[in-house]
Amino acid sequence: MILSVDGLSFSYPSHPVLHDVSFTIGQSDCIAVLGTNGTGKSTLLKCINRILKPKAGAVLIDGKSCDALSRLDIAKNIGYVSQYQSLPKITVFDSVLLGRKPYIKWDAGEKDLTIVNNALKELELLDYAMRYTDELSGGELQKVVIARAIAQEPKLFLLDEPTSSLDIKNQLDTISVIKTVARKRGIAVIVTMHDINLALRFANRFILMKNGRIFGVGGKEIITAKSIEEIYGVKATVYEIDGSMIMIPKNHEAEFSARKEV
Amino acid sequence: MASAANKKTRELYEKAAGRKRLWILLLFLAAMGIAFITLNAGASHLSVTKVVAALFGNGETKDIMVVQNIRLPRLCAGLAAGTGLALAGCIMQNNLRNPLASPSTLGISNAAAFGANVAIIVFHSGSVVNSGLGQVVINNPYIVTVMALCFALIAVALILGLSIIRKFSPESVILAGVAISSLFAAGTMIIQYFAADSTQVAAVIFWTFGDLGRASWQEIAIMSAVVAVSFLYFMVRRWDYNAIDGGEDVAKSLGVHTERVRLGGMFMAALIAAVTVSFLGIIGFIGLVAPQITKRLIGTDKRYLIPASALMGAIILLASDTLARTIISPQVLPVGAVTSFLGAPLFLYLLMRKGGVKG
Repeated sequence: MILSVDGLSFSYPSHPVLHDVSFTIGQSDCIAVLGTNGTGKSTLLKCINRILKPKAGAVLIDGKSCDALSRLDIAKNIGYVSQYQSLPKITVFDSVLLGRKPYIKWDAGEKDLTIVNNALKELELLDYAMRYTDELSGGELQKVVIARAIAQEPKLFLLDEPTSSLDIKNQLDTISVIKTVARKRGIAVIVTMHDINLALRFANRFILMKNGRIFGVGGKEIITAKSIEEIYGVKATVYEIDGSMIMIPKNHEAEFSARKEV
Repeated sequence: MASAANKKTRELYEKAAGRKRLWILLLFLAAMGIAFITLNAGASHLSVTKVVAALFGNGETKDIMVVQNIRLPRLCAGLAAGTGLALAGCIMQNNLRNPLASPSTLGISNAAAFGANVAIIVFHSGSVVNSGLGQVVINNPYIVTVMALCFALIAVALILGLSIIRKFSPESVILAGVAISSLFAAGTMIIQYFAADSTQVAAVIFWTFGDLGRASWQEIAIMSAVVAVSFLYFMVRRWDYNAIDGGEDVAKSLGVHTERVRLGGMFMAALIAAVTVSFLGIIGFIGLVAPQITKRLIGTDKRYLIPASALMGAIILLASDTLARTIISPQVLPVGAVTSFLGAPLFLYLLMRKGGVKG
């Protein structure tokens, strides 16, 4: 087990956000966290990563309590990709090299540079290595921050809506890259998402959240018309087509039944 | 094929890093060049050979006196203050994520000026004489310096205290600095308004002009030590500053204690500013403009920006001081005014040429 979250609660001064959240994640698991806006998905990731300090509960990484780990040790175990990207105006190579920060004592060594090179290669960013970050598109930027997270050599990726600002092609490319990298390196992934269909393509487990609490944890079987209506208040139908699941909201389903192939 | 691409990327990276190191070397050589010109420039027209000889204690006594007691301390003060103020500005701008952050905008300079006003006008500790040249001279500078340092440190403590207790955001710290600056400026105005003796007001205005020739060797040593320790601290933290540039959450996820790093950097930067202003008077613009000019030359990577900004600060201040001393010699212009006259057009030119920070 890579991560164990037990009874996690968090409150902002004005309002509580997370209530008694518990779950575990094993090596190579891909968990998608689904729920409405403001339900605490991003806060959950920040509490796991100690960007925010939980009010109660325990987070164990590889059996060790996060409270007992230094910030540098947490950074060596968890690679985090935030929802909003504001990379420093440095080259792509230097941006990815920042992922080695938890390991660098005074200056980057040969090993650090090799790891950065490999991460760039894995994400097909070698041609962009000397470009400055403000010269990149949204999809390229997303790849850079994922490469930076890879350079941390973590056991767990926390990805906060990594596809929210991308077009459909970049969404699929990004998801595919994360999946490949995670599988190849045995990295567990927790990803927050709004697109249920994309989550169904990507994840093997799901956490459904409602009002800061866990509504359900499990495999694809928990993504049902009933659970979607309970969480989002939207009527939907979940189909299984050729072994893949797809969710269609009810008001769109009428259009779907009168569909015409174009 | 892939290996060739890897090799090419590494070569490009090394080349880019080499270019930035070359910039730092060029700035170092430029600083040394200007330091040499500074040592040779002055009212008593000494030849280069005489200056070099005097530097090593050879030649006429008068020449040795001029070089070792006037020009050399002035040069050392300029090097320490220029590098220090530029470093302070660089770190303040990075930590507060605001290009307008500098010792002046955070109220440290105005607080020091207030301290000097209190010493000269209220406590009459800086009595004034009219020298033969008709200049206003403060003949008891130590109490003035101590008071200026105390109030500069009070400003620093106020800003840092508010940041810690009220958990101020970087934007709020800037606003608090502007408020503190206004408060001390208002206090200074009131003290000057009620001053009984107009020569005291003249003395205090003279003090605020900033003068590299004011510091003793002891003060230069203190200033240099503070700047050297701060520089080392900033260099140790250079990776943290790069991470902070990417945002609070990202920096934390990379293992940076953002609050601790910000506060440590602000404390060291504010200490440099407090010591420099107290010993030399107000020298504006260096802290604001030197890091900005340097960013436009070599980019925002703190591994290179911190040392390069320090050198740029020394270059601007020494060049300004040399100009201030020679342009209408034997009269000496206020160095703070010359730094703005030199720095502002250069900065505007770079703004127009590059259109923004490199990268």
